[in-house]
Amino acid sequence: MNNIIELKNINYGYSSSSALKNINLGIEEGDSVAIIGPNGSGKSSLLKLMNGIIFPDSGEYLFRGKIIDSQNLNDKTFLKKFHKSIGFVFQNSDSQLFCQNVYEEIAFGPRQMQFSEDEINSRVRDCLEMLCIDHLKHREPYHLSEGEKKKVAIAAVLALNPEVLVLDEPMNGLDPRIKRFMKELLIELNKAGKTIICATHEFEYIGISYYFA
Amino acid sequence: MHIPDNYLSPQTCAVMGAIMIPVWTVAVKKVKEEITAKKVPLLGISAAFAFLLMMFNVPIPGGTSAHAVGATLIAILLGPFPATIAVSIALLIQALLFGDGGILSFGANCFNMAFVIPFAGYFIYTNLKKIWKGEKDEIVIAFIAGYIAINLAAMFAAVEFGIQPLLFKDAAGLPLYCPYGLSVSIPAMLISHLIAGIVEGVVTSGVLLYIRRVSPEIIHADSGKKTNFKPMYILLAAMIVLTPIGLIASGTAWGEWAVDELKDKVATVPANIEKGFRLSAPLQDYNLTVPSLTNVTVPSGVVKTLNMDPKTSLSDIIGYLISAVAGAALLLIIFRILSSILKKGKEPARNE
Amino acid sequence: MTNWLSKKDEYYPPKDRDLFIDKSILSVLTMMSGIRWAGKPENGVYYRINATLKFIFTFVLILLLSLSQSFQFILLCDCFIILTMGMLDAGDIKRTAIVIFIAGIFASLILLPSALMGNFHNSANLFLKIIGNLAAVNILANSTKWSHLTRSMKVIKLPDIFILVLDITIKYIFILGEYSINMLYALRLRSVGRNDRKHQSIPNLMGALFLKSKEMAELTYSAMECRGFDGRYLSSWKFRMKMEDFIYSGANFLVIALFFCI
Repeated sequence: MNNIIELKNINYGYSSSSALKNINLGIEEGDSVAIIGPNGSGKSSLLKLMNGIIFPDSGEYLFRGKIIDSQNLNDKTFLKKFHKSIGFVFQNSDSQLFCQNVYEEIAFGPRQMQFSEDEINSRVRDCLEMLCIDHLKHREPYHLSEGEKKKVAIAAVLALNPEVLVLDEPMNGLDPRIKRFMKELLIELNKAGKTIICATHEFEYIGISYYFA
Repeated sequence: MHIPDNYLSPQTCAVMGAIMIPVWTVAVKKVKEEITAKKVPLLGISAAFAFLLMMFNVPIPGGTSAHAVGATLIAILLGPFPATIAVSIALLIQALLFGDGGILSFGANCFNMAFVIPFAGYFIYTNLKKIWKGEKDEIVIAFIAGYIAINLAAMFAAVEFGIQPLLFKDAAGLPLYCPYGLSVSIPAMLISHLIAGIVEGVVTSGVLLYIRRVSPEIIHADSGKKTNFKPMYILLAAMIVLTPIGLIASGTAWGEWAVDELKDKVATVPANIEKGFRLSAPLQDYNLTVPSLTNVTVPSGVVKTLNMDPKTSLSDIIGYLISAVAGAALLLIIFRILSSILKKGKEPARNE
Repeated sequence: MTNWLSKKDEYYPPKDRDLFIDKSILSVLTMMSGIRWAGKPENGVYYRINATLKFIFTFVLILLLSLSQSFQFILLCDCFIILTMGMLDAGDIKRTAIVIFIAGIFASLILLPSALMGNFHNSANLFLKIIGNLAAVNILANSTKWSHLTRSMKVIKLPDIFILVLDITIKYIFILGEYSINMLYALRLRSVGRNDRKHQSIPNLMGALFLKSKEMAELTYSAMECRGFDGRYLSSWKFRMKMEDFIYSGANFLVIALFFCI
C-alpha cells in the first residue's frame, strides 16, 4: 500500500457541529478520486485539510508518509515543498486570481521557484496551450468569464507541476462545452501520472468515489 | 496610529469631536449630491473595504511588515468626501463593535485618519499629477501622497498628545493624561511613522498600480471630476496653524492651571507667559530635556516632584510650527531622492 | 501532454520571509470570530439587558472614569466593571481578560518613565483608567448582538439610514472578510519559493478586493431597488424594561452618584 495521502481517524469540527467525523482514507499515487456528497457534508473542509490550510482536531494526516500538522509546517522549506507537491483549485475562481494579467498569474509559481526568464516563458506557454487560453495572456483575470477564469486558475496551479491536484467543485457554473474540455483534461492529467482528487457532483470521469454523508 | 482613550483628556476629545461634526455634515451633504439618497447605504461596503484594509500585514522592501490605514488610497479611488465617511464608519465599528477602544477619542482619531489623511493625500496626489504628467510618475506620486498624508496625521496626533501635559495638570503641576510633552511626542510619532509611512506609500501606489492595469476607469481622482474641495483645504490648512493655539486657548479655560502656582515651580515659564510669545530655536524642542527635581509645597506637605519639560512654554508651539514646515520641506527633499530610486526598482510587469 | 507534467520534480525551495501572509490571515480570522451574531440560549442574564441601556451606561461610565481624578472612584469604577465582567460567559471573560492584559502591559511600559520620575500617582490613575475603559468597552461588545448595538445608536439621534449603512458595513465586513481569507489562502498555497515582488502581492489582493467590493455594491444596489428601496428606512426598536434592566440601571446610577461624592 503505497499511499500518497493517508487520513487516519480524522476529526474536525466547528463549535456546535462536527464537519468531519472519524475519517479514514487512503489514496494511492496515480488514483483518480471523487469526493461526493450533499452540500454541507464537509467536502470543502476535507480538501482544505488535505492542503494544510486547516488542521484536524484529532487524528493524523500523512502526505508521502510525513505527518502534516501545524508544527511540521512551521519549517518553511517543508511547507513550500508541500505546497508545490499538492495543488488546490478553489471553488471560487475569483479569490484565486490576484495578478494583473493572465501571463503573470501563471508565471507566479515558476517565478517563485526561481526559474530563468526563458524557463518561465516556456512553462507559461505550455500551460496556456494546454488550457487553450493563449489568446487571453494579456487580459486581466478580473474581466474574464467564469469558464475562462477557471481555466486560468487551473493553469496557474498546474504551472507548479504538483504531483497531486485537488479541485473543489471544478464543474460549477461551467457550460457543457467547457465541462467536456475539463473532463478530458483531468483524464489526460491522470494518465500523465497525476493524482486527481475532486469534490464534485459529477463523476463520469472518475475511477474511485468516496461518498460523504 | 489609533489613539486609545485616556491619553487625551475628555476636554481635548470633545474639541476634536466638535471639529469633526461640521466635517461629517459637509461630507454627507457632498456625498448625497454625487450619489442619490438611494445609494447612500452602499457607503457601507466602502466602509467594509476601509475596515479590511487595516487588517492586512504589508511587507515592504527591507524585510519588515506593518499595517496600513489606506485612507489616501480610498480618497484617490472614491474621492475624499466618501473616504471621510467610509473611514469614520470603519473606525466607529472598530472602536465599538470589536472592543478596540477609543470611544472618547473617536473624534480625534477620525480627525487624524478620516479627515487629514484623505484630504491631504488627495490634495498632494492631484496637484503632483499636474506637475509630473508622465505615466511612470504615477507610482511615485501615489507613494509620496500616502507617505506625507500619514506623517501629517502623525504630526497632528503628536500635537494632540504633546499638549496634554501642558494643559491638563493637577494641583502639583503633574500631567493628568499623556505625560509626554511635544518635545517627546513629536519625534516619537515621526520616527515611528517613518516605517508606517513607507507601508502606506507601498499600499497606495501598489493598489493603484493594480487597478490602473485592470480597471482604470473607476479611479475617482483620475476621472477629472471637478468638485470644489477648496473649503476643506482651507479648513485643513487653518487646522495646521490653529490646532495648537486653539487647543491651548480652550484648555486654559478648563485646565487647572494657576499662573501663581506655576511661578513657584518653574523658573522660565511664567516669564514667557507674561511677556507673550517668544521665538525659540526650533531644534531645541527636539532635545529630550532632562527634567529636574524640585521640592514643591502642596497642602499635604513637601513633595519631591519633577518639572516635566521645564523649558516647555507657549514658544514651543511656535517652534513646532516652524519645525513642521521645515520637516515637510525635508520630507519632500527625501522623497525626490527616494522617487528616483523607486523609479529604477519598479519596472512594469513583463508581458510576452 | 507536455514533458514536464509527466515528470516529477526534484525541488529544493529557496529561503524567503513570507510571514506577512500568515499574519494577515490571523488578523482577518481573529476579527471575523469577534463578530457577535446571535445570543446563545445558554448566555447569562447580562446578555439580555437592553442594548441601549448598556450602550448609554458604558459611555457615561467611561466618560466619568476619564474625568475623575479621585483614586477611590477610579478603583471603585474598575471593581464595578470587573464585576460585570464576571457575569459574562467563560469564553468572553477569557477574551476580555487577554485584551486587558496586553493593553495593561503596553500601558505600564509607556507610563513607566513618567511614573518613575515622580508622577506615580497620576500614572497609576491613568493605568487603572485604561484598564477599566477597555474592559467596559469589551464587555459591551462581547455581550451585545451587533444588530442591537447599531439600533441602539438611535438614542444619539442617528437617522435610520445611518443604521442601515452600519448594518450593511458589518455584513460586508464578514462577506469581504471571507473573500480576503480565501485570497490569502490562495496566495499562501502558491508561495512555493521566493517571491521577489512580495511588496506587490498584498496590494494586488487589496486591488482585487476593491474591485469585488465595487461589483457587490452595484449588485446590492440593484437588489435593493428591485425590492422597492427608495432611500427611506425604518428601523424599529422596542424598548421594554425588564427586571434585569432595572437592576442594571440602578447599579449604574449608584456608581454615577458616587462620582460626585468621592
